[in-house]
Amino acid sequence: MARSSTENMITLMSSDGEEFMVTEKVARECTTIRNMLEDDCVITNIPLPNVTSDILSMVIEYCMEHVAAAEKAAAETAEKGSSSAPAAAKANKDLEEWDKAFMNVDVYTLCDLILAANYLNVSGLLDLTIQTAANLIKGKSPEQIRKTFHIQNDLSLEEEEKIRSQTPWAFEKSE
Amino acid sequence: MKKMQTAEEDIFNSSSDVSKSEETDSSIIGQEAEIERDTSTSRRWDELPIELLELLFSRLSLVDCLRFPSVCKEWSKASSFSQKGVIWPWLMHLPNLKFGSCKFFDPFNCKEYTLRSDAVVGACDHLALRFSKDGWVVVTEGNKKIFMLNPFTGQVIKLPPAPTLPFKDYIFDGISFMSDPASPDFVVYGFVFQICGEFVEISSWRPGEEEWTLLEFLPDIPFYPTSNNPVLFQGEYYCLGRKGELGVFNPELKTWNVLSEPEPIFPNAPWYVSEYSHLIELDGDLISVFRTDELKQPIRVFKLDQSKMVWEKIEDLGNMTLFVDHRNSIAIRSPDTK
Repeated sequence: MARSSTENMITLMSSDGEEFMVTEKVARECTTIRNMLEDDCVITNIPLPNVTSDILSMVIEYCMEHVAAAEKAAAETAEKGSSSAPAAAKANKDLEEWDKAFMNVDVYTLCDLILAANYLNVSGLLDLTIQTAANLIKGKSPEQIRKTFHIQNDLSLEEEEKIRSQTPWAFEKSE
Repeated sequence: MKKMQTAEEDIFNSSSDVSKSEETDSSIIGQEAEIERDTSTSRRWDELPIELLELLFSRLSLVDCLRFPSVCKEWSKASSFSQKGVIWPWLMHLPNLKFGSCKFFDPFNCKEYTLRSDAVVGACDHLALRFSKDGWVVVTEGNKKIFMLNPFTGQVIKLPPAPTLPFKDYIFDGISFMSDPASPDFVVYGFVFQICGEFVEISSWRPGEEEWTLLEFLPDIPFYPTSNNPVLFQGEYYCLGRKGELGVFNPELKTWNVLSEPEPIFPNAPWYVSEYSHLIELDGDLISVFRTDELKQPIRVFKLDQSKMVWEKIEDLGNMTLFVDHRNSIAIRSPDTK
């Protein structure tokens, strides 16, 4: 990716001590970091004690892709005066496809990404990861959900029965 | 210092197997993903903060919402339906028959849910929701066709066409059923009241029967029913009359009686008023609600004093909330005071 030399670079440090150099524009995709930068414009090194390096690299990858897509759309608009609708639709679809592929992760990673997206306040990524989790739940019985997400059932028989007895009809088909 | 390019390469290597995502949604992720990652430091799904679980809950379809709380303790805390142990009633309507949409409005969370049901797709005649209990809805199509639908599981039970009477188009003034459809005691009862009040016909149907079994009554006392469905109370069906009298059908003895007590609340009111009044069972009591619009009077609520058999006017429902509809009325205890 071409970058102008004048662009500010920010260093993000993960909980396990790895440093990632990103452009300020990419870093600003995280609302949490944007707020820090606005409070203190000379800050260049930001420790992120809640995010591990592998998750942070994924968040950065997501932000870079979305910044690049937005820049591309803006450049096309500037070039042609207005962006052509089919081109914009294709760009949107490409980005959706990219998001979909990006979500090809295991449930542990998905959980960490949700937490990181929430902590760093990347609304697009939070939206994407939560929707992915919702899709994973879709149509499954509680037992299947537990299996998918590796959750131990810590409800007592009585508690589970009480919850189910409120809407027994919702369980008939898949149990 | 690690450069971003390096990080990118790592990621692209690890997520290169994306060809599987050709399925309709991203639900293939999860167990099938082939990423090798040390997950020992990962947070567990039952440890997600409650606000994130609530966000997840808000994205679920209605049926998934209902199953969500029974996954584990943390998840049960995050689901607004089961909060404080109360499921609020939902208003159901059928806005688009072409696509088979059934909509449910949750009045307390101000949320609307849509379910698709094949049973209502392309209905050629007017569909009316007549009665609802335990997740089942009795639906009529036009004047004769009746079926029961469980919109959550998609199950449908077809009932025989309603019996016709020479002087009536549709059929039942009230309909109700006893027990769960899966139970051997399951019976559907349809009530027909002749317009002048002198004639009562009660039909019953059990699974497997090809037609309704009719019982006819010619009682001494005319009875003008309100539009509210009969209410199953202490094993008998109670019907509210427009003057506040009670008619009772005993399914065991197969008898119909208009009770001499309680005495009518509005003995001199003309028969056409108070059609839209309501009868509700509330914690072992019968409550009647009169909306005597024609008499230009406010809504009035009465409780049946069962020892004296009189209607007592009440001003305060305590911690109960009433939900009234032309045909169905329910009472729910407020969760804050349970």
